[in-house]
Amino acid sequence: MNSFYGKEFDRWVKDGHGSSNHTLREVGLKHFQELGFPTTRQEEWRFTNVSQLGKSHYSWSSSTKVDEQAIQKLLDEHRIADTYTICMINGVLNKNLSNFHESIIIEDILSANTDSFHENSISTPFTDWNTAFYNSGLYLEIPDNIQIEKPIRVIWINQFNSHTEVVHSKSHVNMGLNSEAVIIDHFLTDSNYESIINHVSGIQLNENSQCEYIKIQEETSAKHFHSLDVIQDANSRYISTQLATGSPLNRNECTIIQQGEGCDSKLYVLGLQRDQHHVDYQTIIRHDNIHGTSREVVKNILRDSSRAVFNGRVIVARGSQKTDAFQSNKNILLSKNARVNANPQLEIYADDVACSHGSTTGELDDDALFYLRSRGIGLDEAQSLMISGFATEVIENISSESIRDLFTLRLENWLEAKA
Amino acid sequence: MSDEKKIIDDAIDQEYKYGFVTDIEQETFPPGLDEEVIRKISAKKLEPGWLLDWRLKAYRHWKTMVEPTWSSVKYPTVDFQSISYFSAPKKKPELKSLDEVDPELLETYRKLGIPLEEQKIFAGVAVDAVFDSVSVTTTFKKELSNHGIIFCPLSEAVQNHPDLVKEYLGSVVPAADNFYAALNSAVFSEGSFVYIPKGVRCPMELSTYFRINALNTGQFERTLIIADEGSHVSYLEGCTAPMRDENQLHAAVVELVAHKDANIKYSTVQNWYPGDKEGKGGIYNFVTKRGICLDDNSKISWTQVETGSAITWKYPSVILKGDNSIGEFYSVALTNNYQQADTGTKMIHMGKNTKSTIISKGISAGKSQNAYRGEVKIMKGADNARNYSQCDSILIGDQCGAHTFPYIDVRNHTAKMEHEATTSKIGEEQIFYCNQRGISEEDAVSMIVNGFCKDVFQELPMEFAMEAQKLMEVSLEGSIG
Repeated sequence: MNSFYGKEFDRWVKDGHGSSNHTLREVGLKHFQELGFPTTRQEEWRFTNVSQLGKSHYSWSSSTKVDEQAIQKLLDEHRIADTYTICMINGVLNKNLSNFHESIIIEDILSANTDSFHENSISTPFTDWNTAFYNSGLYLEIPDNIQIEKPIRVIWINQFNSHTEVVHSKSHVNMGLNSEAVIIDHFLTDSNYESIINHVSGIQLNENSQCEYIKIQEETSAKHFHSLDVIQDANSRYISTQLATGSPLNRNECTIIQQGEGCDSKLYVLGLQRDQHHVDYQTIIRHDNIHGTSREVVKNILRDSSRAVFNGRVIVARGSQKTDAFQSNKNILLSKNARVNANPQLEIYADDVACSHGSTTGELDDDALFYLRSRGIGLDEAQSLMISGFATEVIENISSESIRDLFTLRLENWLEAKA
Repeated sequence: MSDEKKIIDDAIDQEYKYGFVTDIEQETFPPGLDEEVIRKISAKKLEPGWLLDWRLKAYRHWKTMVEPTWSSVKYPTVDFQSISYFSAPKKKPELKSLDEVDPELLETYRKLGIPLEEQKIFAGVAVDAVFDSVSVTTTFKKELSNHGIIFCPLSEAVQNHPDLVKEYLGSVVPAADNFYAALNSAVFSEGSFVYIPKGVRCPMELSTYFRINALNTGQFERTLIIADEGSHVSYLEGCTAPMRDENQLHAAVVELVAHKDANIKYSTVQNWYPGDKEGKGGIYNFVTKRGICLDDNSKISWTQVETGSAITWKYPSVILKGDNSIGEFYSVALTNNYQQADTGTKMIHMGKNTKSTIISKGISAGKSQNAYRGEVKIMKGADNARNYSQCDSILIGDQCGAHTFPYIDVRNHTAKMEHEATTSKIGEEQIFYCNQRGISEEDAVSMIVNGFCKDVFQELPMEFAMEAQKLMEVSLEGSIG
């Protein structure tokens, strides 16, 4: 594996890429080569087996042909009313297909210096891999004191021509002082290759800013890896709602650091799993300052032979008094081959705090089903009703009606596909 | 504030009550571990060849293993060659009654408050006392044998009931199970053996008292309890050690086997020397405890109150193999000063309609770290398995930590798995409410903590519940956060 990615890197540089931050890239490559793909013997990867990735050689040629017609078709199919659109094709900004408010600053990530942002985060083989090879990306800034009413939707369309391709994409959002915005990452693809999307992103919330972050992951056959770092300054608010419906392998690593005091973080996840799909949410919420609050709700509904992994850590650092943290992970198993691994963890080093977590796993409640059926509601409908109710706790947190509708529609589609 | 500080300081200054050393003639092996030492231990115990082979096999495997590092406890690496693996009071030949036991020893146990002497017969507790590495005496043997119950030191069981020992030893915790279990299998020198025959309800509580006395020794005892069909037994275990500046290792193995309709209740009050207030000395308590509900309708219940040890690192587990079997785990872990605890349980559901309950209460004070780590695994065949886990922590003072690491693995959709955990400090309103009613701050804290632990204490046998409550009061007096 080592020699392949070493050669790949040399070729990459020869093609004129990676001229910026060359040292950083070399460090990334070195780490990646040293660590290789993780094995299940590593604690963070115990329940998600990616060892087979080491058997193939994944390459990314930036000259991958882009089929514009297909992209237009994809965009039409996934139109969402009342949103700004920023279109990223294979990790590269496409201005022609984008439209957004003039006060939003958009640049290529290579020209905005964001490298120091990830300095303190824990690197994984996937982020190292990304560091070595990413070539472009999105830098998005909401200037100080600006509130953007309409949601800003960043559409990440990745097109592949083979099973052994990888896209290393990257984005950085900078929320200015007192700014407010709704930002959506929407991942789409029209190809049926089992390639890899390796995405690294960061969100910086400056003082008193508010970011509602929504992620919709709808690649159907590609493996999706995403590492997100969120850093919050004093009195900032971060509300995140994520939907995972596709992907045979979907790994999300999310770290939220409350640097300033009085921060509020909310993280809601809805996973709808089927077939042999595998979804893995690794979250860390770090309370590094006083008066912070956090709410985390991760819900999965699984059928067929799908599997959900949740590893959530809430860390309250020494001195972070008056922290109020809550973490909940709930899973519904609809078939006998579905499987759940949950590790909700609390690490608390301050005493004046209120922290709690809960985790439940089971099938739909028999008594509730019986209650509905005794009132003349058929079994299928009763089940759908209960599942919708279960999912609502996540969906209802979205402020934009059109996005809420999209989530509801995806849930309905998923329920219908069951029959 | 200064008042509070004073009270906390007072509580922290509390001396370890059981820290005396008994001056008694001992026979101790020189420190070090190799095959020769194991052969010597085995020879000392007049063990049959198969047991020596078993030990050697475990030792050879242990040599290939590395010390685990995944826990959240931190300690300097243990030098296994600086420990003496066998220490015994010089033996008088053949003791027939308690009168013949060394009076120094009896005095030690009297100080510990163990009802070892005949005069305390009314306490109705049959005791097997293990002093360093050998079992000193077993009381009530005759009455127990009337019921067909075997309760004796493991070494005696090896001589008198070799078939039973051979069948069950290592059947729940295999010799190569983990690093410390393998070490124990190689060098274990004593322990208790209990066999309850079919349909017998053990008429009294059985109890073992462990004490580490000698310097630089490790204690590696091994307990094996077998409850045959329809039997019922309640077993208690208590531990103390003298105050020493060096850390001492205690790596025990406990195996429980419950057959059809059998019921085993295992209670521990662990009060090993926790080290001084600077975190110097104290016992490393690295223990493997596991029970198996082998057949249908059996039940195993672990109750533990952990207040001692510099480091407590153990996970009493239950394998729920038989249908309708039940596993329970009730735990209170209290850490103060520089103590560290990483403890919890494992519940492995394999049979249908199996049930498990986990109630864990952690209290951390001073500069201590207290972690609950547990696993609930519901295997594919475990239809209608049910688990309920509750892990609550209280923090006293802003220098300590409380952590919760549950691992949940569900592979059967008919399972119902619930886990919840909370962490907080003692509410100011609660203290205020008590103050208002003329209850001092100290008493209020003790009351609230005892209330917090009530769910666990009520699972303990009477005498132990009293002792546990007293222990908590001593360890917590006035430490208000």
